[in-house]
Amino acid sequence: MDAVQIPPIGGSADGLAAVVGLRKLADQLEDAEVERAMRDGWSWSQVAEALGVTRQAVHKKHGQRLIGAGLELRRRG
Amino acid sequence: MMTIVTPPHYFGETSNRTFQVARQEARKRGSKAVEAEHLLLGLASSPTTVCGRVLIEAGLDRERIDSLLRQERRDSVAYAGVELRGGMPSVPTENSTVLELGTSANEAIRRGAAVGHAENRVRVGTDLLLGILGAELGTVPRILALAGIDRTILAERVTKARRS
Repeated sequence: MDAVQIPPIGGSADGLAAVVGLRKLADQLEDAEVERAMRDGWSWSQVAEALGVTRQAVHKKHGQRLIGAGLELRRRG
Repeated sequence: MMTIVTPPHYFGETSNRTFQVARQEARKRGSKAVEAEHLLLGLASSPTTVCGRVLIEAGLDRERIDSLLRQERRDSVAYAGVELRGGMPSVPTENSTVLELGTSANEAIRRGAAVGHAENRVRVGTDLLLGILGAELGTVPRILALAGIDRTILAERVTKARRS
């Protein structure tokens, strides 16, 4: 049986779209702010501590991108 | 007898360009995946094709779609009390990242392929557009609603334009 057709705007559709929008916003904000911190001379450990994640996690998620962006990254820390 | 196998993402001669533009749009917006809205931008970027023509006639050129996407994002996060004053922070997805097809794009492709299959012919660009327009919920239906465009009527126009 087909589900009842729901309008794409209004009610729960707006709430769920907010979830999508906020997830993307958080992802893009993280990309932008990690890059800014690294350009300001922060170490991976400092960025990780500020984000409340491990150094390995932040390096894995952002390392390749920042190297690709031509950022000179600290070898250690 | 030789069997012709259509590549999964083949939707006519212009589909390479459509997917190329879609990837560029996704990357430019910092998206980690190509979604249905990026495919829509890809189809709208070729004004000489049937898809491009129908979309532009409906007022959906690339710039308008871009503006609707921004509005949709602003409205969506505003629901949660977040105001995007300066727009979204934008960090393009680096070239080294291989962009996957997101769920909405895969669903659009699946629905589009089914259109061609049902009519027992090689897929064309309008099938992909019909696949995109087949979604009832999500970003593309939301921007169409914001623009005051009836999704079903637009789909009928696409079908009519392909047959003419």
